[in-house]
Amino acid sequence: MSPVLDAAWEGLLLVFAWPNILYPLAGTLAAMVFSLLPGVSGVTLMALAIPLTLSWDPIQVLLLFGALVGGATFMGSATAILLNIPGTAPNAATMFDGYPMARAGHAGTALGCSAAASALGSTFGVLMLVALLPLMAVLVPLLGPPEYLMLAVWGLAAIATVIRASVGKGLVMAGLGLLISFIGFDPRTAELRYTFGTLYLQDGLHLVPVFLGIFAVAEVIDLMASGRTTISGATRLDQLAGDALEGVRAVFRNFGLFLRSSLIGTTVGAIPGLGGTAAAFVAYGEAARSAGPDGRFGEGDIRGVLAPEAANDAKDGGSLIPTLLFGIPGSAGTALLLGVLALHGISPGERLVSNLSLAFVLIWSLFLSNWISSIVGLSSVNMLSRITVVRTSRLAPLILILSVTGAFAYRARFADVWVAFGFGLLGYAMKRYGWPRVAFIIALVLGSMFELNLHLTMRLQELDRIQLWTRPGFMLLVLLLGVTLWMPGVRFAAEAREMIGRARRRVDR
Amino acid sequence: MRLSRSVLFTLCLLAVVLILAYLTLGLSPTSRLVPLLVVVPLIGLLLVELKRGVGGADAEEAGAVEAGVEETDTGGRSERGVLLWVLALPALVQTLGILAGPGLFLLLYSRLRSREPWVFALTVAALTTLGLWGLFGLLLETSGGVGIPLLQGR
Repeated sequence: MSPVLDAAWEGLLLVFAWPNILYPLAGTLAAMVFSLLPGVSGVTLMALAIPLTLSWDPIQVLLLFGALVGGATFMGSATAILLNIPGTAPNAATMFDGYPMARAGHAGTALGCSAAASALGSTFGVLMLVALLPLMAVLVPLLGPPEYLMLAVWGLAAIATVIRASVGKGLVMAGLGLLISFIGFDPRTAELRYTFGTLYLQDGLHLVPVFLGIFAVAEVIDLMASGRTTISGATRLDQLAGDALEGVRAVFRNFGLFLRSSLIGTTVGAIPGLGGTAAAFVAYGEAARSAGPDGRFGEGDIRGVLAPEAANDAKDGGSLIPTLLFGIPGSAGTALLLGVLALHGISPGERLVSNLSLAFVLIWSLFLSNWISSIVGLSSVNMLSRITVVRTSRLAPLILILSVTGAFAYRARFADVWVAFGFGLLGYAMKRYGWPRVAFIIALVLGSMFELNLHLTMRLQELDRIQLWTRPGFMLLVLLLGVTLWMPGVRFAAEAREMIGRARRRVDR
Repeated sequence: MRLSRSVLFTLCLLAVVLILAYLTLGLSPTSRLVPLLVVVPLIGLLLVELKRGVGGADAEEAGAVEAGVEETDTGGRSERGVLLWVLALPALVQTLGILAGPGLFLLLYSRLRSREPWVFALTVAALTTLGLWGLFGLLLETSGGVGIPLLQGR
């Protein structure tokens, strides 16, 4: 066997050795429970666990932290589907279609799809990590601001697909999202923008309170104002349509989309600083684009659950590539992981890669935790779906309190609570008067990435340090963007020609 | 002429964008480059939407435009009453702190709005307060040591 496969096998044996296996199990279950609380993610749990693990064996530490990174994802999407509250920021993309499915009484199907996409997505990410570990060491340093810029543009282009119903309003919301993402320090000049002299806005608006407001609080206001008795409209569990297995089957029916989303997740995850939120949103946009006019994205299309969930879990494998190879954290979770590794005398880079079996302990733990959380999640679908038949009068105040908890737990600041409720009112008005919230959120997430990399690319170009047209990564992304924007155009043109032809035939008759 | 709520909302958005445009003009040329690229077409788009709204196009779209969102039915409850209840929560949290605020809100909401029995209202409020104390008072406070203000507002 090759050295990589030998190390993978050795790592697997270490994971399943007694009592090592208990650590990923305990870590996954703890992460699942914690991630039910919005704003308290696996990262919070990792921070809490650091002091506990100082005297532990490095293998046990790797097992626990791998599980904490992987275990939180599924439950975060469960709250997104059931309550329109994202457990973590990347789960926000799952809400766009997951919650409408729950409202239509298909919560079980959405949860089943999410669990299967999560488990299989993480498997894809780990397999890619194993296969590409040697290759990525060469490729990752070749990606720079122009490629990140194109990735942001690719994500922003998704807006063109999700706003088909009202292009004008969608573009306004996207513009507003971009403007709000510019709040705080300018990335190039460090000049303050749109802060109105307040200290709070200098770092820009944080995404968690904004997500909680735009979706959770706004949805509660709508739920209370509408007079609906429950989220799904059903009052008994047996009145809900759709089961978890139907959701699992949807992943296999849309296997091409699953593979594309997982590939996006792994690639974006491998780029330091982008993280799961960008991965989930770019994958959602790609799914909406590729579905074309047949898609019902934003109205409860199961592909809108599949794509972000697969990407979000596949990104974990990708994010370990720069973490393990170069010691560059791709996210808050991997940054904490690096800190813990350093505390235990494990330095990333060549030394960790030369001891590959230790790296594989972490990789297998991550893989195992994703599967455990998905299996536990699948087996508790019925129990979780009960939330959608709880009376509004009892559920609404609890969701509001969860939103307050999520916004406050984030940084223990009252201002975050007000931001969440302020955006809640804005989100309700958007919903009431037909302004698409999805366009606003996508632009808000990708705005700072777009601006920073645009400035960097322009500056590098001015200094003659880069030649855009000679960069294969940039050219590939330009080509992809061109194709993805051109395809819907061709389709719409063909449909328009067909309609004109039909009208002419009717006139002739 | 009586403006619809939808048009008023568009006017509010336009006012916000105009303020941001004014602030953008005060920035250095480098800092305002990308914001200007966004804000100028945004004003134009909002004016078009405003014209459509005044012309009655919004009435046809009426809330059903957003993908995935069915038309909002506000026939069930008074919207103003709902908004007051929703804003009462952050106000209570700000005044009484993260432990007492949500507990009191839940008690008042359960009794006054949902008309739940006292036993149910008190139990849910007490359990919620206990859960919040466990989260902020025990777990995050002791491990994070960030000095979370539990019992006082701002």
